[in-house]
Amino acid sequence: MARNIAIKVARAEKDMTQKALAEAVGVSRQTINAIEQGEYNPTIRLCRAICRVLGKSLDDLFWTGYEEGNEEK
Amino acid sequence: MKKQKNRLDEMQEQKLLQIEHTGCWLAFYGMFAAIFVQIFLYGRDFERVAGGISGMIFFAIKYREYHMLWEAAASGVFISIFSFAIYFAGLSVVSYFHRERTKRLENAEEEDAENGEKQD
Repeated sequence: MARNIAIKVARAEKDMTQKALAEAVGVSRQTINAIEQGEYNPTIRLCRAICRVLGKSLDDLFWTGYEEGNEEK
Repeated sequence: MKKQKNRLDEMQEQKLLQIEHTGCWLAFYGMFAAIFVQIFLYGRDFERVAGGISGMIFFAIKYREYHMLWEAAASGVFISIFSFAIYFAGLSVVSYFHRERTKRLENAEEEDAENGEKQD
């Protein structure tokens, strides 16, 4: 899985550390790090919680575009 | 008994489920191999082995269907006991009839031998 840079950028905009974001959504810092590194696929519930805390939509943070051969958004 | 609160993170819980899934299948194939080793090395009773294999197959099917470890294990144990009882009962009945038939044939041979002597 590719890295999720969008979450990192949104977190930086809010001036939040990984730990702060993790506490806000109710998971561990390792989970947030794993999501940003693309090592873990969060549940939809966690995705929505992260979007709510960072003030972004699901598309903004978790849209990965189409697979190769298809058009991108 | 009071149910303890789950303190695991969702990522930790996913990892735990993955470990449980892998370990469960490893244990299943290990036990399967152990049964066959016992059959070939020590010649265990057929009913015990058949009951164990039936229980393990049933456990695997139920675990694959519902992914609930303890419930599937309980079903497997129950089916093992039930299968053992059925195989034992079946073999007992078959061996009883076999013994009766053998006894009848042996008596028939003795009568034929006696009849043969009297005629002579």
